[in-house]
Amino acid sequence: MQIKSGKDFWAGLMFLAVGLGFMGVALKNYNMGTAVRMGPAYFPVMLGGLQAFLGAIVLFRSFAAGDSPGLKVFPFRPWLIVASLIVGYGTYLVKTQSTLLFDIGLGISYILFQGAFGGPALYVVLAAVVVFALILKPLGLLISAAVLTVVARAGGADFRWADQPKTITFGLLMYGLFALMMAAMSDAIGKGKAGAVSLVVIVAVSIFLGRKLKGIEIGALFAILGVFSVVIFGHGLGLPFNACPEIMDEACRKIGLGS
Amino acid sequence: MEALFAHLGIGFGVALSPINLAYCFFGALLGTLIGVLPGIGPIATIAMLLPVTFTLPPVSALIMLAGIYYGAQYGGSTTAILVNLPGESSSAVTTIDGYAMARNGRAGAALGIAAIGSFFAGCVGTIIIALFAPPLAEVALKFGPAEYFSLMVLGLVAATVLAHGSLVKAIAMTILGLLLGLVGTDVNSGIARFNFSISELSDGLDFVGVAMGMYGFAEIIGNLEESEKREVFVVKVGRLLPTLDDLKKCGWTMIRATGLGACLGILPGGGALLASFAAYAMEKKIVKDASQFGKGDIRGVCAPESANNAGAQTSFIPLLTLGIPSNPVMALMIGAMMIQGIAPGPQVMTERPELFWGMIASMWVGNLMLIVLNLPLIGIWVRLLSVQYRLLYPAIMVFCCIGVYSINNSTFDILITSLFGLFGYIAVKLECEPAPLILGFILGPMMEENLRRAMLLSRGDPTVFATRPISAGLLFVAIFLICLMAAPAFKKTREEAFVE
Repeated sequence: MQIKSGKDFWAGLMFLAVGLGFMGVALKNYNMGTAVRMGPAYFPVMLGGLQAFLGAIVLFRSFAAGDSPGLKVFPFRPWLIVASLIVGYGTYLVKTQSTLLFDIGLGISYILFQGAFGGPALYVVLAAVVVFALILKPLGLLISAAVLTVVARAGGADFRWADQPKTITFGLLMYGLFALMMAAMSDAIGKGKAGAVSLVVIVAVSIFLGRKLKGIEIGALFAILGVFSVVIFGHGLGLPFNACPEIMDEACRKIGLGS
Repeated sequence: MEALFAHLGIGFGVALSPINLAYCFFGALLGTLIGVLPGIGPIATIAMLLPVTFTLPPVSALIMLAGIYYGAQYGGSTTAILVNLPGESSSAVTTIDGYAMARNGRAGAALGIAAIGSFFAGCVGTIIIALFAPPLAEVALKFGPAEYFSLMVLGLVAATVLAHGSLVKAIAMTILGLLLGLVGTDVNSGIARFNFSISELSDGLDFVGVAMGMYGFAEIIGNLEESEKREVFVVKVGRLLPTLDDLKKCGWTMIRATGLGACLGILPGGGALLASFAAYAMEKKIVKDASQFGKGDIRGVCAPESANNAGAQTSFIPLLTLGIPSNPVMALMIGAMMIQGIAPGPQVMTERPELFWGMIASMWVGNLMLIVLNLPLIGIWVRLLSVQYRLLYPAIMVFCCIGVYSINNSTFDILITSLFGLFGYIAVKLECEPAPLILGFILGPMMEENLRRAMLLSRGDPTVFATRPISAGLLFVAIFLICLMAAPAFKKTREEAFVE
């Protein structure tokens, strides 16, 4: 028996496992009910069975015909999944003791799991998203947007490590300028207008300098994105998130940074 | 007929109010923008903007979101013609003849005919919605749970038939979507299902997160893996208006493509993408002298561009009359309606006529705006194309994450989005289409609910689906479609159609 289509093999296996999984969980935990009064397990068991059946067909077919022989369809590192599960279990054990440890453990476990698949474009970009989700509340939008931008760029082409200290410093300086402008203006002309003026200034300065100076493109980009998000989404649309880290929240509110 | 004019009167009254005109304009402008930019589509954009719509009145919100969808169909052609890259997946075929025309120095004429064809199709599409939606909604009001269940089965089957690749895998993806849709609290028993004791999951997986992961993030990753090759065709765009000769050549093409696009748009799983492919293939078969197709025949630009706009318009019909989405964008529109507290379905037309007719009237207004917006501003759109992807994708990601977060103020939803980004990537690698999964996901809970009600009403007799005439008819069509798919002759034509 030779696998003629690796794509179908994995797809079939996935469908079969998911179908059986849903069936199993539903049968074990929920009530089937009768056809007249269906319980919570009825529909999932039907669907899960159908799914498993279709998965079996796809799996079977992968031995019959196809154009991608072998198991290798995309890069896959199963040992990272094992590592992820170990970290995940450890995290589960400390769940009640420390939320900080729990978040860090969850993040590492998540990133390891995603790291098991695909090339750097996949796992670096997705890791950026995971990190963003975990630091958004404690560290605030400005820093989270900066981290997301820098890490996501690291997943793409022509990312130069040597430029990073310079470009991140530039972006943080822009954030500082933003805070200074808000502090100077928000009492006089109100939070909304101060935000709008600062946004225009930051965008103009970042684009101008980003083109003039070499290697600070990423900093300029995250400065624009961070300030834009705070001004438009936070001030303009009133979406609730803090712009600054939690510990600085008080000070930030004083200068009109916060929703 | 009089009633129609009265209704359209209400609609234009709503659509022409300054505030709604502004949102319509904004939506159309934004739609054009994302249409022009390759690598970001209407699904990710609408998902990003959903939180913005919280603060808007319902009519304005829906007018803006609709504008994004049909605006993207206009914008997509610009990139297709000038850069040989589909700005929007539905403009993929336009690249063939559009780019060839641009190389022959006729970029202006190609852009012109794309805009004119789109406008014509948009107008016809709007009229079709106005004419056919009310009677269809009347019928839908008589639907019982059995009919709704069968209708959803038909919808999902049609969506799988129209998907690329293997039929079995497409059906399996649909069922996976249905199963994922069941995660969360069961409305009948109040039990939280498949939540693995994670409290955030008891409300179910967030639809926007799933859609954004499978489309937005998976697309970004795919783009990053292919090395970026993009050269803008900055040779003079030339005269924008096509010659009289061109128009004569395209007249019938435009009408045929619009008709086909409108029909395909109504079908579940259809919409703009399928319409453009089908129209191009049809045109190539029908015209007498097809030797120039692929080498810059103006009809090869006109056909897909008319068809995709017609399809984009008419895909609103199932949404507005039945409350059932025909493609992922429409599924997001349902999400937007639910955020506003409107249950999509046939009752919307009678209970909220200003919403229904206002949206239809705004589509015509939006199409008019788009043709004005597109032709004179073409220079600006072309310059936008020089924005490098390496600057664009982090921006998309930041906005996507903020969008997902602000729907429920939940960072957990961002983690879910990331996971579905991974799954979307794997699905593409395994040649499993994401669209059926998204449709299944949104229909899952509705389907279970209607199945339960139908079985309760029939006292557990499953023949109810076959004995009620409408339900039987719908199921028959669904079975017929599956049999047709299995037939070897049809299978071959389907494969050929997608290869083109």
